Amino acid sequence: MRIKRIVINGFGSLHDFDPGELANGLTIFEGRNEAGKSTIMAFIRAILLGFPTGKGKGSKYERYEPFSGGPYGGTLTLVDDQGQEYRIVRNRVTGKSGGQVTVFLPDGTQEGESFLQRLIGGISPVLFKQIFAFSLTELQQMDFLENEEINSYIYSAGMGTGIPVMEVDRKLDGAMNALFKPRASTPLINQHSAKLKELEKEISRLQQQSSQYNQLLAEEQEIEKTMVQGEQESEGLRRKRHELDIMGKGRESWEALWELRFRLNNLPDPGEFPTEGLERLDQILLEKRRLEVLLKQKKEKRTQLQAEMKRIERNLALLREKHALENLLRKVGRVKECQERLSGNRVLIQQYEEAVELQLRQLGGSWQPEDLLAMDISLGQREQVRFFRNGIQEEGNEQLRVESQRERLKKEWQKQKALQASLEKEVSFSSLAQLEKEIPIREAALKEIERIRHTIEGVQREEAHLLERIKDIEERGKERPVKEKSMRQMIFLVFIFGVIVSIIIGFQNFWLGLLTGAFTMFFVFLLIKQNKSERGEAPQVEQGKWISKLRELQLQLDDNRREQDQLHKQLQEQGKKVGLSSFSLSSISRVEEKTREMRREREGILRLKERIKDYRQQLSLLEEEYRSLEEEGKGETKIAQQWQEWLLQRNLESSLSPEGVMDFFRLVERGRDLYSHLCQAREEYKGDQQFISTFSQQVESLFNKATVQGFSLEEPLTSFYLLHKKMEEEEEKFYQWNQWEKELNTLEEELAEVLLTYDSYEQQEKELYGRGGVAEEEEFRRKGGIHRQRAQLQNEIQRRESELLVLTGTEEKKDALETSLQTYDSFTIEEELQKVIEKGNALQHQLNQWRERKGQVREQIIRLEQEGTLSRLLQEKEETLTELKREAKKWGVYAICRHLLKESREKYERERQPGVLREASHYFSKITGGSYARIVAPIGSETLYVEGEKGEQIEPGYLSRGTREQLYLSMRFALAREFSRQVSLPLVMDDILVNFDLGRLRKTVEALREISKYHQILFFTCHPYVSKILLEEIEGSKLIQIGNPIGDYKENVLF
Amino acid sequence: MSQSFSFIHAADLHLDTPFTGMGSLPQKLRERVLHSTFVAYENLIQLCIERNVDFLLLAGDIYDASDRSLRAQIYFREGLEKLARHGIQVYLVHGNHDPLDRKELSLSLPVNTHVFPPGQVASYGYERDGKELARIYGVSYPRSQVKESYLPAFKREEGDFFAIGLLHTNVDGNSAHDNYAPVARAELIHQGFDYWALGHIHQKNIIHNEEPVILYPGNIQGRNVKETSERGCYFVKVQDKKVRELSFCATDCLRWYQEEVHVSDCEQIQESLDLLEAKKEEVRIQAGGRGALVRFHLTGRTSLHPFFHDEKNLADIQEMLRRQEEERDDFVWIDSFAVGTRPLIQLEQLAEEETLPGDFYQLSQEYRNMEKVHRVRKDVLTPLLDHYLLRVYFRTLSDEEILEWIEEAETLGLDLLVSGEDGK
Repeated sequence: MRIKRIVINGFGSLHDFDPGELANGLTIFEGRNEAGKSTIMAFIRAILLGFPTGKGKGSKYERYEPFSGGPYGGTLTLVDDQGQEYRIVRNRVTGKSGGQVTVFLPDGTQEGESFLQRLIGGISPVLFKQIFAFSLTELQQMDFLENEEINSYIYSAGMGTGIPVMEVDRKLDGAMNALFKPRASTPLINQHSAKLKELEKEISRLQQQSSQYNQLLAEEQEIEKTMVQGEQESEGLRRKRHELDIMGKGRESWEALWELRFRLNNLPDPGEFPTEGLERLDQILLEKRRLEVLLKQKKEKRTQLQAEMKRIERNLALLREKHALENLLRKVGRVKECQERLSGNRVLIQQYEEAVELQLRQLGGSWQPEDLLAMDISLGQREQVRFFRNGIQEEGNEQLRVESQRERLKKEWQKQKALQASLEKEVSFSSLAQLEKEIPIREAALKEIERIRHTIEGVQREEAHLLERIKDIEERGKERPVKEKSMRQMIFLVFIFGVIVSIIIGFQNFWLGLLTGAFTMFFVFLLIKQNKSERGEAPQVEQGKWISKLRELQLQLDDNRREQDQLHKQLQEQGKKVGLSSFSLSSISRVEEKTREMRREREGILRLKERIKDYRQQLSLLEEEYRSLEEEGKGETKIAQQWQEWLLQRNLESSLSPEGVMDFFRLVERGRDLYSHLCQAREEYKGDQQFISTFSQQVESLFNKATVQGFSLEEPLTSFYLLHKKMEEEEEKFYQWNQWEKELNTLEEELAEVLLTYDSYEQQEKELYGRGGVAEEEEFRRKGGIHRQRAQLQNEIQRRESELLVLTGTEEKKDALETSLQTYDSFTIEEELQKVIEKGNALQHQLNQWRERKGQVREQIIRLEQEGTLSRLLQEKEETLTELKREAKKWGVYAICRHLLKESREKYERERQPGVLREASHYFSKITGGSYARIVAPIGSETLYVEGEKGEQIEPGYLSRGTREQLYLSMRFALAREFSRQVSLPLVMDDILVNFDLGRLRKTVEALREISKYHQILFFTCHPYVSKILLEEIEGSKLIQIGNPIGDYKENVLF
Repeated sequence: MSQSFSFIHAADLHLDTPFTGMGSLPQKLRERVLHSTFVAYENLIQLCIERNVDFLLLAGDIYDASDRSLRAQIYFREGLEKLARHGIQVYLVHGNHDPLDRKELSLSLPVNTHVFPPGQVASYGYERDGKELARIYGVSYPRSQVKESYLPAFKREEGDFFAIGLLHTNVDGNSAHDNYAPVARAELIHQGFDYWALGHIHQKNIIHNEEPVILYPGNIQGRNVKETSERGCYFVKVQDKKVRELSFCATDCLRWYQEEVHVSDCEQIQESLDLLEAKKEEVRIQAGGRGALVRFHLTGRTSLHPFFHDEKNLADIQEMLRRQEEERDDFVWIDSFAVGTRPLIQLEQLAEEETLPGDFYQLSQEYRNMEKVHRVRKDVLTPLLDHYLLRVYFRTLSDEEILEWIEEAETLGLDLLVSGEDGK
């Protein structure tokens, strides 16, 4: 860890101080007094460990608050061994006198005080001030080594342990105290001990309790014994009481018994007597009375019945016919039906006869009903008719189709014809012929005219040319005036001619005319201009030549004019051809128009002609078609002939169509139906008549057989009903008579039985008397009375005896009871019973008390037997004891450990040098040039010793000031090295070398060089010679001057 | 005629006596623990009935008289009555824990139970169908401390029977138990008996396995962490006066385990926790449905050494491992940890170093002898061990234990001195 940069915003006298980057190794701050060297050192301490917060006197000076106010604090940039930069900013903040620190990490995050503490190895402010940032003042302090923290560093260093021994000792001590203290209550072992004592007390109490158990058992046994005796006594009393109870209850029965026995003894013995004799006698007599009454009743009834039966008259003959009558009864329904149907059928027959007659008439005069049946109207026949009908119908349809087709064709033909005629009317063929003739003539003429006109134009142009040349020559060759004159004339002529031509042309074609006009004007203008220019020249020399040429031209001109005339004549001629009386250019165009019209007309006519030709063609097609249709129509009439033959075969009118025949068939069918209905009706009618007459005869025969009067032939049904009723009456009578007869028989049987029973009772009565040893009823009854009385007494005695038996249970006990009852009267019994009850109750009460006590004792015993608390407590005691022993073991282990530690430390101190002291010895020996080889520090003792060259131990107090400072400096170097096991912090030293002689100074600087390899060193001095040596001796060191420079240090070097 | 018969030999029932050497338990588990000796006793009785044995031998220490537990005696009697109903005879002697002078309860025992008189050897014959098949000799302790040997008084009588000696004794002076009624193994062998049914030593042990058979069946229920492994009784079948079958039958319902867990391979705390969790489930399977009480011995050189040496961490682990256990029938209750892990530092190398830890290590190594142990007991531990309230509890603290403490102190010291260095 090193300080890369120091930036002071405000601290003590320094404002906005930034000396730039510091060296990795040594950086020397050189400055005069008051330049701020100590301030910088204080600043470093303040930033790393907080602003000083002391409260004592002078503390405000130590805080280095800026005198003039303003910002307080600044920034340190630290670089760790890995080259990571940490910016530490500490500023004043209210409420926190140490200031507010912010650490800016390389990764941009921010941390606070605790991070900073970790960063600098958790060093305390004291340690830092003593070891890493010290001035001469600190260096000179004798009590430096008395600081415990430093002390522990000295001893733990090199002991091979990172934890100060004293801390370990403290830890152990704490742990032991938490477990056990001889006179405390909260440590664990003490707690367990207290709990154990309590448990032991409780256990002992419970164990005492359990010794009661034997007593309880003994008591229980005693009670049980007593209770057995009591129960026995109680049982005796219960028995006695039971006996007395029985005596009390049996007393009444016994007394009754005694009396009954006495009464029985006093009754005479009646001797032999039938069992229940009296009752039996009474019964027999009663029965006899009843039978007598019954006999009488039945006899009366018999007489009555016989009389009734005599009164009834019966017709047995009729009854015999019952079966026949029932047969007839079954026919009655049908007879009724027949009677009803007869009149209906009569009317029906009449109607059918009329209908058949009518039907036959419809079929034709000669038709008889039999013919109807003979007529074959089978399905086959009908099918044939249907075949014919379809054939004929199909034929008819075809004809119809042809007819309509024909009609259509006819109409079409007529229409086409009319169209054709109208067209023909429209077209005049004569004019066509004329047109055909005229048009070519006209066209030829027009072509000729055109050609002539062109020729005329050419001739005219030639003429004009000639005229010009003539004029030209005249002007040049002849006198000017002449020339002029001729020239003027020529121009005028040209002008006139041009105008005319233009007009002619313009007549025909306006634009051409206009062009010609313009051309003429231009020509005239040119002529006039030439005329003017020629006027000046006038070549006289060639005049003769000119004249000859002029003449030639005149001749040519004449020829030309003739030609012109000729042409005009031709034009005239041609004009006539086209029907123009007088030819003019304007009329030509009219002619042309007319000719075009004629051409159009001709074309129209030609088109019509074409159409007419089309119509004609179509007409002929239609006619063709029509003819083919006519042809088709002729294929008929074959089927009609077959039909005629068919009709003839069946003797049917030939005029009949298949439909007609079908109708005819239907008529025949209907006729046949009617006729068959008629026949059926007649049949039925006849049947009915016959059925009725048979029925009537049967009824009559029945009347005769049963000898019953009142039969009527007209009304067979009425007669039948009469007979039927009679039959019912007769049946009734027959049933009644039978009934009575049965009753009578029964009565006779009953009478016989009653008589028999009566006789048996009479017999029994006599036997009874015989058995009782008497002859008559009175005596029997007397004897019976005595007998009954004895039996009653005996019964009563038996009942009483069994009562006593029930009470006692056994025969012997019963006898004993009777014996004792002879001596005890009821009063004595009652008295005795009362005594026994009282005694028993008292005993029961006693028993209950014993039982209750026994229950209590048992309960206690059970409680003791089942008592689990004791075992539970014993278990708990064992557990607690175990816990106690476990804790005790811990305590013991701690104690032994502490003991061992103490002993080993003592040994260590005796025998070994702490690493720090070894290191310090090294530096000290080096600085003093070997004058002192070793520093010795017994552990726990508050001072160090140095060993001189001869091994003598010298207390630091005896050393010179400089040597002492060198000793302490060596110690600091060694401690800094030791601390760097955690973090290698920079060493900040404030002018500490001032008391060193040059030799030792140089040795010290060498040591510093060594140190600077591991620690950054910031060295403050106001002595340029120190700076110089440092700069010389330690490579890469940097000098920073603060405030005004001290000057060239060379000048200031003292030696 | 076959002369076969069978019996069960048990001893040291210690009915209704507390479990020692275990930390506090939740209520539910404590009830289980409290009932465990009864359950084991019931198992024993049930076994007698199931095997339809002729008799049951009980070689002393049926209950702890000093605990004065009525419950124990009542339970005991109920068991005997049950056997009586099945016609099974019981022969018993009283031992040092239930000597007859401490018999404070006058419970009458059922007729099938034959108690040997105190101080003098007596014998009872076991007859079946009028024939004496076996004769049992025995003697009860008249007081708790019997220092003399009863063996000379065991004199086999003339007769054609199987001779059994029933004796509560410490054969050859086993140091783990009080040396009561001491006898030598050789003497027992030559006493002319067929079977020596011994009691007193809680660990089952067949001292001589034929003619005569001499054995300790051990106790029927382990009651402290030292009493690991199965506990029960021996079923013995005799035919023609020869032991034909000898088999151990477990009766315990809770079982103790001391499990060593090597954590040297664990680099992460979680790994070691997983290991412990797995070990716990292993124990559950071993216990076969019984409740299990476990002490874990953590061993091995590990970087986690400081972690395990922190009491708080151990408490946390223990709590984690105990979670939900008390709700289970087949619970596995981690009673305690014995941390024997070593740090990663090389102690041999340390011994060479001229550093404080090095000196500490050397010094503590020097403390491994009895002289130093006594010094430690006198100089270092006095405040605790001689404390007026506590000394009663430390009377039994042995030198070996203190030696153990010293070893732990060494480990602790090194941890404290060195742990700062390795930064853990």
